[in-house]
Amino acid sequence: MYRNKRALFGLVAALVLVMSASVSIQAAEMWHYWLSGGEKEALDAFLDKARELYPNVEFTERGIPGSTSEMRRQLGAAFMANDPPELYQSAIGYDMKSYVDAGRLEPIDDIWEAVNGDEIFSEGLQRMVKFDGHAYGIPLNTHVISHIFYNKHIFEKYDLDIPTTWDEFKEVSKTLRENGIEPFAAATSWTLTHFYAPLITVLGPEGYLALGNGELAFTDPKVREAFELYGDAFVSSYMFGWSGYGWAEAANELLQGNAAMYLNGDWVVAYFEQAGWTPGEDFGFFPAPGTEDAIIIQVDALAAPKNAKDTEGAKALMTVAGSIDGQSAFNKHKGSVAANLAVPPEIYNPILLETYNRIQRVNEEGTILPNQLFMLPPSLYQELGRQVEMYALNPTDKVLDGVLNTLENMRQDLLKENAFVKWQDM
Amino acid sequence: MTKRRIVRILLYTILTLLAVLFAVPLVVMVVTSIKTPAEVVNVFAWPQEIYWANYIKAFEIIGRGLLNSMFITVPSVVISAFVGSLGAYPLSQFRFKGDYAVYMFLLAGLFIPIQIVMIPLFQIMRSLKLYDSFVGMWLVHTVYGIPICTFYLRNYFATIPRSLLEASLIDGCSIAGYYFRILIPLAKPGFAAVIILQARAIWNDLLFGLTLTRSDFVRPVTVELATFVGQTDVQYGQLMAATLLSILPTIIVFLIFRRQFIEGVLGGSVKG
Amino acid sequence: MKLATEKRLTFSLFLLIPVLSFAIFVIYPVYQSIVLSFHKWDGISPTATYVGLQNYQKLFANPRFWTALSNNAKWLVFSLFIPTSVGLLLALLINQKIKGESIYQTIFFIPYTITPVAVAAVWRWLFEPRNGLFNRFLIEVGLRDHIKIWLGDPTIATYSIMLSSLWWTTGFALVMYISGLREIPVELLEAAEIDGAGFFRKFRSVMLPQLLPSTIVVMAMSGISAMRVFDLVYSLTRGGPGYSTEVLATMMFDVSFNRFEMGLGSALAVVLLVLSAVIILPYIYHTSRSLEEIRY
Repeated sequence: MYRNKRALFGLVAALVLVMSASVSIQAAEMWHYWLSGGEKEALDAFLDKARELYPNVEFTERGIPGSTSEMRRQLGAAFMANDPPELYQSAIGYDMKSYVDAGRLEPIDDIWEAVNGDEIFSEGLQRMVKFDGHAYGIPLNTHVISHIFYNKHIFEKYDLDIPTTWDEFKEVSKTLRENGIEPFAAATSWTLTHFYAPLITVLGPEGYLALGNGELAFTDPKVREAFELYGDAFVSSYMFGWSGYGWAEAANELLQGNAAMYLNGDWVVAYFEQAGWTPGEDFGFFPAPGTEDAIIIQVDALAAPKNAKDTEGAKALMTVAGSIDGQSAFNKHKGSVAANLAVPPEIYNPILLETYNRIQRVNEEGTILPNQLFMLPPSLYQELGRQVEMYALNPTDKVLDGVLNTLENMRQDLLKENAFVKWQDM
Repeated sequence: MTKRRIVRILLYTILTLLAVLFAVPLVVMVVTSIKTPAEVVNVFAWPQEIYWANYIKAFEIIGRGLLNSMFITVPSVVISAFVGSLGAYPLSQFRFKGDYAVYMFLLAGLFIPIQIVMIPLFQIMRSLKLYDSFVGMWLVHTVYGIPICTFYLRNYFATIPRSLLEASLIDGCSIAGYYFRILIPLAKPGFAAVIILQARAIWNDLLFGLTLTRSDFVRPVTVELATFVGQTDVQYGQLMAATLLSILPTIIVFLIFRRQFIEGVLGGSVKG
Repeated sequence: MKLATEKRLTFSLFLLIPVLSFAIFVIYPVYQSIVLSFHKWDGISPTATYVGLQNYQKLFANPRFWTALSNNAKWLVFSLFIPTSVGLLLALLINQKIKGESIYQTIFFIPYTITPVAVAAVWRWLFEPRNGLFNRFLIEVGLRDHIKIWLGDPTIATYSIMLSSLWWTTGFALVMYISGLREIPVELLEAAEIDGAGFFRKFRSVMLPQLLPSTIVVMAMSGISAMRVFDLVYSLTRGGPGYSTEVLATMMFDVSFNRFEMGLGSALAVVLLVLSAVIILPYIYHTSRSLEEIRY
C-alpha cells in the first residue's frame, strides 16, 4: 500500500516537472503605485526594456492607487490567499524589514551579486535593503527631499541671493514679505520634511540618525531648540492658509508667482515642467539651510514576495532593475536620480544633473540620510508628522510642550516593545 | 395688502432663497464640469462652450465603475428587500417566545460600524472564494441590509390587519401563500421605500467596495471616484464631470420613485 | 393542532434565512474583531500576538482618542438637532400648499442621494482657499478680510465639514417630516383652529406631538450616522490638520491602515460599537414597544 502510494506520488511529481519544464512562456506580475503622468511613462519604459532583454518572459503590471499603505493591504490579502505578485514596489528600511520579519520576502542575494549591488549602491542605501546579511530589494530611484525650489523670476525681481544660512533665509523672507510675496509655500501633511533641516542643523546627522534609532529623547533640550528654529525660520515664512492646500496646490502658488520658495521632494520638478516651466530658467533649487553636507533621500525599491509563481520572471525583472539600462530607462522619465550610482548622468535634465552632482559629492564628503519614514516604526513616524503639523499651526511654547511629551511617551512605549531598529548596525 | 398675502410672499421668498442656496453646489459642479482647465480657475466665469473633454476623460476613468455599480446594486437591492421581508413577515404577524430577542438581534446590525467587520469579513470572503466577485458583493450587501429592511418592512407589515391573515387562512390559503399572493402586493409602498433606501445605500457604499473588490471588473464607481479624488494633481473640471456621472443614476431613481418613497418611508409607524 | 404546527414551521423557515446569514456574515466577523482587539497584528504576519487589555489601555491614555471622541460628541449634537430642525422648517414651509412643491422637494432632497465621496469632491472645490466659490464670493463682495481657510483652520474645519453634511443630510429629515405632516389627521388641526389657535399654537400642541414618530426616526438615523461619520471627514481632511477634525472612525482607519496596528484599530472599532449601541438602543426599544400597541 505504502509502496504504491510512493510510486504514485513519484509519477505525479515527475509529470508535474515535465509539464512545467515544457512551459516556456512565464508571466511575472509587478504591483506598483506609479500611476500619474511621468511615473507611468517611467514604468512603461522600464518594462519595455525588460521585454527587450527577456523576450520569452511576459511582464505585466498592476497599478494600485494609494501608496505603501494601500499596497500593504493588497499584499496582505494576497499573502492570505497564497497568491502574491512576483514583484512589488516597496519602501526601504523599516517597511521592507517588517515584511522580512513576517517571513514574506524572498532573499535575492544571487541577483544582488549579479548586478554588483555592493558597488553600485551607496552604503547608507545598502543598510536599508539588507537584513540578517541577505539582500531583499533592488533600489530603483532616489528622490531628494531636502532641497528648496524657488521661483527665479521673483528672486531676480527683488535682487535676492540664494540663502545659505538660516539668518540669510530669514532675511530673504523678510524682503519678500515686505514686497507682498509669500516667502514659503507649504501644504497640509507635508510639513515634516521641513522639520528635518532644523533638526540636522541643531543635532547634526548623528542626531538625525539617533532619532531614527529611537536613541534620541524628544525631551532633549536640543530637540526643543530644533523645533524653535523650525518655527522661527520656516513657520513664520509659511504662506497664508497653507493648511488648506494640498501639495500640488501649493506648487501652483509658486507657479503663479504668489509664493517664492517651496520645500518638497524633487518630484515637483516633473510637476513644474508639465505646467510649462523650464528648469534652470523659471526655477532652480538650493539645499535647505543646514543640509549642505547632508542630503535626505527617498527611495523606491523592488522586492520579491515568497511563494510567487514565476520566480524566474521575478529574477529577470529584478536583474533589469539593477542594471544600468533598466535604471536609465526608468529614471529618465521619472524625474529622479538613479539609485545605481554607475548610471551615466547624460539622461538627466539640468536640475537632475545638479542633483546628481550633489548626491555624488555628498556621498564622498558628507552623509546621505534616509527619510525618517524608513527608519522609524510607522506609528511614530506618522505621529511625528502630525505633531510637527500641530506645532506649525500654532507655534507656541505650550503647544511645543504637548508635542514633545506626546512624542516622548510614544518613544518610551516603543522602546519597551523593542520596536526600534539600530540602523547603523545593519 | 392683506396680512395673508404678505405672509405668502415671505414664504415664497424664504423658500426660494433656501432652494437657491441648496442648488449652488450642484450648479457649481455642473458648470465646472464643462469648463476648460483655464476657465475652471475663475469660478464666476461662464464657460464659452461645452468642453466635452472632461466627460470623455471622466468616462475613461469611471465608466467601467458605473457598469459595475449597476451590476452590483440592482440584484443586491432586490435580494435584500426580499430577504428582509422574510424576517419581517413572522415578526409582524406572529408572537412567539423570543420574538423580541430575534428582532433586536437583527436590528443590532443598525449600529454596527462597518469598519469593525472589514478585516474579518474580508477573510471570510476570501475563504469562500467570493472575494472580488459580484456574487460576493450581492451577499454582503444583502446581509448588511437585513437590519434596515427587516425594520422597515416589519413596521409596514404590522399595519396590515392580522384579521386579513386569519381570514385567508380560513379560506384555505397557506402561510407562504398569503405572503406571496396577498401581503407583498399590499405592501408595495413599504417595499418601494426600502428599495429606494437600499439603492441609495448600496450604490453609495464605499467601504465594502474598497475592501472586498480589487479588479476593474468588479470595482464600484464610488471606489473609482475616491481614487480620482485622492490623486495628487486634481483637475477639478474632470473631477466634477466624474462626480456628476456617478451620481446621475441615484438621482434618476429618486425622481422616478419620489411619490412612493414619501408614502412608504415612515415605515407605517404612524398609521392607525 | 395542525394549523399551529404548520404556522410555526413555515414561520421558522422564513426567519431562519435572514437570521442565519446575519449570524454568519455579521455577528461572527464582529466577534472576530473583538478577539483581534486583544491582539497585536501588523496585517501581513501570519500570526497575531495576544496582548490582553493593552490596546484599550493605550487607547484611553492617548489624547488623540479623546479629541476624536469629543469631535464625535460635537457631531452627535449637530446631527441630532441641526439637519432635523432645518428639515422640519423646510417641511413646514413646503407644506403650505405651495406651487411647484415637487420642485422644491426635489432640490432639497437630491443632495441626500449623492454618495459622500461626491459630496466631498464638490465641497472641497467650494472650500478651495484661492479659487473656491466661498472665498471668491467674499472677495467679490468686498469682504476680503473675512476669507477663511475652511478646511485648513483647525478652529473651524470641523464646522466646515458639518456645513457640507447639513447640505447632504437635510433632505432626509425633510422627507420624513413631509410624510409626517401629511399623516396628521385634519380634524385635529381644524379643532385647534376652531379653538382660535394661531399657527404657533397649532404647531406646538398638535403638529409637534403628531410628528413624534418622524422625529424619532430622523433622530435615530442621525444619531447612528454621527457616531459612524467617516466618509466626509476622511475625504475632506483625513482628520487633519493636526487632529482637529479627527473622529473615531477616521482614527480607526489611520491606526489600522497607515500605522499597521490592526489590533489597536479593532479596539477602537469595539469602542465605536459600544457607543453606537448605547445611543441607538433606547430608540429601538421605544419603537418596538409602540408597535405592540398598534398590531392588535
